[in-house]
Amino acid sequence: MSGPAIEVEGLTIAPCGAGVGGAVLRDIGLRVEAGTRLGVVGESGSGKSTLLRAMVGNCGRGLEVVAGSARTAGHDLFALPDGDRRALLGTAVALVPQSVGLSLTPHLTVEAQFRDVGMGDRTSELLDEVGLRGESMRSRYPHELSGGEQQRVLLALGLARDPGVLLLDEPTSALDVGVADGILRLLEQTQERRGLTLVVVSHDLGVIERVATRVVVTRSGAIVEDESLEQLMRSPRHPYTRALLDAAPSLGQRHARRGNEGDSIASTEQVVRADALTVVRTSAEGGRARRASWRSTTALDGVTIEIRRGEILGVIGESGSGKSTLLKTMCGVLTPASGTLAMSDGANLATPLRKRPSHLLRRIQMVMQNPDDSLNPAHTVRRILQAGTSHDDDASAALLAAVHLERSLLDRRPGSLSGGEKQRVAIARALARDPEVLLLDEITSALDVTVQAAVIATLVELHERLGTTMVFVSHDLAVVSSIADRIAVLRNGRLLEVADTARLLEHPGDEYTASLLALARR
Amino acid sequence: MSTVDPVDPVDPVDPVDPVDPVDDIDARATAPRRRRRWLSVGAAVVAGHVLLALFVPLLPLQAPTAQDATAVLQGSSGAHWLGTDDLGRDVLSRTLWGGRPSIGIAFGAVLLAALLGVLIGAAAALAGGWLDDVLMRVNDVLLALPSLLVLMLMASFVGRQPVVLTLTLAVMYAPPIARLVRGATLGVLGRDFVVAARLRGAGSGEIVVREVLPNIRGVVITEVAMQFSWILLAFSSLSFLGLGTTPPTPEWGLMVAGARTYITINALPLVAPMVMLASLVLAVNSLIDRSALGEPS
Repeated sequence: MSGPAIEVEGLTIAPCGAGVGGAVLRDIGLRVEAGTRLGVVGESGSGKSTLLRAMVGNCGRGLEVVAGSARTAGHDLFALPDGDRRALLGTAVALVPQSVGLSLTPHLTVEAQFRDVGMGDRTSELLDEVGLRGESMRSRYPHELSGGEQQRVLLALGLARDPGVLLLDEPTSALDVGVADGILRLLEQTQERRGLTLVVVSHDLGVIERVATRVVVTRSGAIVEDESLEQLMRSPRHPYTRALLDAAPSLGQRHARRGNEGDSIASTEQVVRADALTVVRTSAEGGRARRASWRSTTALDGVTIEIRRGEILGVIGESGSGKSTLLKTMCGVLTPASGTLAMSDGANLATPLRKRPSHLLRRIQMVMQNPDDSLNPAHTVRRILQAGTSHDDDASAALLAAVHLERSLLDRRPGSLSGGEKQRVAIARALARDPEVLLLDEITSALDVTVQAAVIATLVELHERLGTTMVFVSHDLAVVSSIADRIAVLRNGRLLEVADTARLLEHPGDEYTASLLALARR
Repeated sequence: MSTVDPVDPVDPVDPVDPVDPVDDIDARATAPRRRRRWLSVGAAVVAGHVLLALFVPLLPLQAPTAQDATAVLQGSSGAHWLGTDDLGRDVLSRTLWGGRPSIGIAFGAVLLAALLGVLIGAAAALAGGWLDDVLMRVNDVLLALPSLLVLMLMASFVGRQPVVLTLTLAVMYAPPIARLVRGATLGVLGRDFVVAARLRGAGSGEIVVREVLPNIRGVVITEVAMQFSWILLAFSSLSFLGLGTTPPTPEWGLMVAGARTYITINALPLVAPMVMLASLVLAVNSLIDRSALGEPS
């Protein structure tokens, strides 16, 4: 194939009846030559997924094409009758959807999913191509596959009918770094071997950097930058691109307001100490499981660690490493099976949440990963902040100010706040109890990168001002190392090492830490 | 080492996640106008029924039990707008009076059923373990019993007093509400804001009232309103079978039962109460369609 594989001209997509004013995509012009790799980067709501969908001639329910055209593999997709367009899907162009857990039909085996696209007899061959052992995989159900395996199966399904153009929506967003690395390598190899035209959409510049040779940056439905990768990395022209590049911390880069680790540690005085802490979790969380078929896993296995007053302790590990379990045990959501967990003055933290006296509850507060889930959608911000406290509106407004939010938010409900605002409200709620230890569980992972940077800045500022001890859990080594005084590395429930940030970065004490560092440096 | 500031708030205001355009469209373009009209019609009919039941004694009607042997089974006339029944009683008056027992008992029973259902469902969800098992198995047993049969048994052996019927109806129609509340509560209890509430020291009661109920309000109201229709029909059926209200008290089910023999002579005594019953049930159901929309997203 020669010439452009994808040609988008003046494409404007808007909600039905809303006209150009409310457009989701405005006047997009884009040419992708056959056999090249394009990356589309932007934040949530920037229109990047809509753009990807438009490339298969589907503008999404409730949206309509107001102007322009999209040609993929020589066909004007929006002008084609539905039947003809569908015939092209999978053969000329294939879209690999996002959200790994939702994209495979749960009640069909892997082979049956291939049969659905008419390629049942090539199942093993295709699975082998994406690095899975095809024979052993074909009879499995989606829930028996790991996230990385599911993503590979989705990729194989996309490749099944030999499309010339492959579109991927956030191919690694829910995966651990190591797994994501494998997927990205696979993508590169597959593209080269098959001579595919590859379009990858991601919010993560790091992912785009790995797979694309040319990058398009979208914002508010428009393309603000379209450059080769080197050009973009060297000298981004649009301020937004620059902000994106700056906001993504790279390894070893220290947050400006954090001193070099070591001199910022207030003391070596302990606040919390865990000794040989072991936590067993049953598959149904919270002890609701009561059937004989419980699956219990040792989520924390003999962890001994101290948390020092006034420090920011970073905790890093991949999913299943036990990092969230550690936080949930400290705040009492989970109770240890053995070992001790106590505060320096003897208060026992092995007490389950419901049995903790209120003065103990107050001392340890947690901010959770997903602000959509941790703020009650039925309550106003006022009610969220004031429940269980004796605060008046002024006190709440002061809290909001501390996290850089306006007083006017008091009357709003979470549904009308942005992701970053919601997470700030969640932080303010935790601060309302004036805790000694603030537990932060992946609080930036649901946020866009520039928003993440702003939330981290707020956090650092609060730490500076209040001196609250913080435990910052994340899977992102770069973020953790930019603010933490010390870093603890967890894997499969075991504490591999805990060391001052600088030492850990320069002389990792464990092979696994070294491999994490290597992945983060890529 | 800290030469570069990784935090450069070029954009200090977080970009607001745009509302999912798809949802937005649906909410905006198609539904509201039509739904709002339905709301007004449904609400007006329900309100009309309730007002009528409350204030019918004030209307200048003939006494609903006054018999006139000289004018039986008459058609519509100036003296009797809807004619008379087999005992010469005014059908209009009886029809308008006839809603009082049904609506009163149905309202009482459905409120009690809702209270029971929410209490049992929330308790089962919150407690888990054996209590959950016991409550839900009892619930299953009640669900398996044909409610009309139980009502007939109670009416025959205990009595037909409104209190007995209301209580029986409440117990028989609480289980579906309890089951729904349990499921919905479990869904909410797994969410992080419940953990956050526990972290601030909220007790179980506070969690149900403040964190859970506001989030399941829509489905619960829908279910309760649905049960209201069922209770209304069950009570009318009971009267129709001669085990609910006692004659000569005017009541729709009873009127239908009495009038069906004379349907070939005069259909009005049969049709009028049926229209009233049907319009109330329909109006309540049209309100249900709307109620879930008041839920916070």
